[in-house]
Amino acid sequence: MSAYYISVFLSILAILLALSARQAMHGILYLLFGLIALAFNLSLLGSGYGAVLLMIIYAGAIMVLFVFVVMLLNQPPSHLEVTVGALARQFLGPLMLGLCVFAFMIFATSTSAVNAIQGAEPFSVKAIAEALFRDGWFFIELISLLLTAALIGAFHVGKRQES
Amino acid sequence: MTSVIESPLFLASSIFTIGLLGFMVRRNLIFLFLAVEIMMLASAYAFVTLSNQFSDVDGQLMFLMILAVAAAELCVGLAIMMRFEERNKSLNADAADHLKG
Amino acid sequence: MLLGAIPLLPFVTFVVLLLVGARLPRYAISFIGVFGIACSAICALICASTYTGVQTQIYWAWIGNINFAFYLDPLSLFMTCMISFVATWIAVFSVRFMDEEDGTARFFGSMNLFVASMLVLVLADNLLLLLLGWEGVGLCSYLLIGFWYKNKAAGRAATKAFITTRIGDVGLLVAMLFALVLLGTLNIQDLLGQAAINWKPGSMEATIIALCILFAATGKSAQLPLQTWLPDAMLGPTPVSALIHAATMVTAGVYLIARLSGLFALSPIAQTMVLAVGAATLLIAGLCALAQNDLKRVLAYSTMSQIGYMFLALGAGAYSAAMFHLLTHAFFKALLFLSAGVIGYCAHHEYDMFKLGGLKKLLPLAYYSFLVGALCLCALPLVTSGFYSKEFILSGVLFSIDGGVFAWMSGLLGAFVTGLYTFRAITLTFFGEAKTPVVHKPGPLMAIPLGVLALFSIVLGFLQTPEDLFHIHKIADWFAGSFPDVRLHSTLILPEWSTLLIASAVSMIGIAVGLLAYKKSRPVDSVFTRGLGFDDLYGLAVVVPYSFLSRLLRRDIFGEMALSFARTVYSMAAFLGRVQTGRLTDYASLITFSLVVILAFLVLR
Repeated sequence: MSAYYISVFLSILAILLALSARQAMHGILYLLFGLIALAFNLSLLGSGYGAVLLMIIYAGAIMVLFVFVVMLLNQPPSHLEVTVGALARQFLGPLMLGLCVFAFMIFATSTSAVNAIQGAEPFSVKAIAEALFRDGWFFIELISLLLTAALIGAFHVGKRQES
Repeated sequence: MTSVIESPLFLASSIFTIGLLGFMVRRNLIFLFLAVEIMMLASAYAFVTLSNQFSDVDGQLMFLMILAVAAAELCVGLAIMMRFEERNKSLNADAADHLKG
Repeated sequence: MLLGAIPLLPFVTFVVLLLVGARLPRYAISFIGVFGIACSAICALICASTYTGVQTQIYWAWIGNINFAFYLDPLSLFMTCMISFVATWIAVFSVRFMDEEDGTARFFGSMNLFVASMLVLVLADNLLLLLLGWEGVGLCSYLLIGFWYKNKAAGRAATKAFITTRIGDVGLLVAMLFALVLLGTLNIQDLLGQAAINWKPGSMEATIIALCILFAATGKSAQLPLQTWLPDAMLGPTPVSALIHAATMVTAGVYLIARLSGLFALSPIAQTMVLAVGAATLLIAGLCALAQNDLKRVLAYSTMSQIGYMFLALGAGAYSAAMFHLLTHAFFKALLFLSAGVIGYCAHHEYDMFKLGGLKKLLPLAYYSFLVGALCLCALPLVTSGFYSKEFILSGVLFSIDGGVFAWMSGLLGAFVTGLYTFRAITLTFFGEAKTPVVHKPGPLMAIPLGVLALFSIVLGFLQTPEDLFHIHKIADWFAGSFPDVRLHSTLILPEWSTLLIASAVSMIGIAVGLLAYKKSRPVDSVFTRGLGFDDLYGLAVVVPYSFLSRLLRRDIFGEMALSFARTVYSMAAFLGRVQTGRLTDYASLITFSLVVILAFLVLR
């Protein structure tokens, strides 16, 4: 049980650190750490499939893409940041709003019947694969189209203007 | 109280809120992207855990799709970000305020 | 039927010239312009020769008894013939006068419209139709004074004339409203009948209406207090001055009072006011005429003064005398103005007497016609019409109860001053050495009208001579019954032949002094030159506060109220527009904010 709490605490901490980092690379690395903690959390809950997918795709591809782009941009450190003082001035309003949203979400989850329901078993990979190929083949095709479009789009937009 | 923290939705809400806050506060485009990704991560996590809780396998499918969409969006977004940096010489989102007023 | 043609023909001419005039060659325009007025004159003379008695011709029945109808009685027939006849000869003269000007279609068109309006005015059988003609002549006066519109001073003079007479028109409108409310009719004959039945002499209502009419008449006839526009109106072409500001428009006021004589008979106060206005104006105008440097301004003040004589006669109840003087004055004043027109045409529109001179030899036509007119004006005994008409007035004034000795003496003083200023003008303009060369020669088109007018100026006098002298009384007979009777003193203060002698002596002394005293005159600039300060007074008392108020109210209150809505919206838009910073993160905050609001609403419901 305590492992669960530790993973919750770690992921929240990591995300917090990620968004309050001063340099982009630090932020990305903190997020990576947060992903690891989240994957840990998922595997504790029994969704090994989710954990592995997070690691491979999210941390392994998406975050790496981020890292590559940041390296490509090659921004000197001073360019990457606003001062903390300015952050603090602008932080109050959004903080209030964010807390309101958070409060509502907690309120919703605590009063709903969500917590009462407990499923029998987390899904196994086999069950998920069956569902994917039986019912979800169409969505897979859509995903592939989407990725193709994204590929072409990124390729086109990312081309350096030769004019 | 502990039941709240134990609920997976608590983690999802917290991560989403932090992402939202980060989006509202940060100026740097990279961190804005990061915040968006974090919000999507939070919703994907919620899908996975709740599908387990409700024994509905569609949640797992949804998780896959969110991942794919996040990846696609990130691709194009980063390409745009590179063009932005080329044009404005900085990654400050405040530089794009031509729709002011 | 012919009666309707009299004003219709000039109106049709006006429309024709308006529509196609600009495209016609000069001779066609002139011919059409003169033809319209000439036909009108011929119709008028035919009507006069076949006159059988008072009649009304209704052309269009409108509301109640306000119709487009013409009323023919001795007074209106008299005016009609005079107007159309004089206008014809002035139009003939203008053909030559305007033969090098542009815009003759505009000129003849306006002149025809003027004649048409004036004829409608005198023939109208109700006050509303009279007002139509009244306004029409005001409009044409504006158009014709400002004919040379490129001259800004002329434009200002036209505006001044229009506005001043407009102020007088308020009096006419108020009188019409009173008549309508109190008597229930605007038809003139009905009005006079009703007034005689309902009101006894001296009643307040009759006085009010009569005073309003008097105010309107002073506006159009350039008497005190609305006389300031006439000298400035001389900036228009000289035939215009002859027609409008000597013979016809300025007599409209006299006609109006004469037409409503029944009303004035019911109000001794109003009648005395008419007398006072006439006396004051004739003296003041005469003195101002003595201090002018411009020939046409002398003639303008002279017109003002002579109309003052007519008002004097009206005030004393001697209506036929006023009308007789109106007739003779029309001819000799037109003659004087047209002679000045000859000078203007031949000497580059130079009217400053101190720059003219010696024109007796250079322009004999102008000299002799001006001389005839001047002698009529100064009432040279026995041979001029001016003598007989002025004598008719003076005896009428002296012997009527409403007139009196003071009025008579002011008339005599006026006659003396008339002689002075007229022969001052002649001395300066025609005698002495020539200072301005003559570049044009007048032609027959100028000479013939001058000759006709001169002839009539002499001959018309013999329509009414005093009892002790031939005793002709055609005018008195013509107007018998049209006006309330003059109330004569039962015993005469002086025998009539002695008043005749006194008047003749005064005139001749005036002429003599005028001839002798001004040989070595120099340009004058005194308060009399500027019209005794009336212009400055009105400028200060009326124009300045009015301009101040209009500048103050330039942004009017309702406009401001309407604009304030727009301004509020603009400022709110500007204020709220600050929300749009253009920054992505701010928009995200806004989205979150609205999300929170919606959630709060859901939770708290």
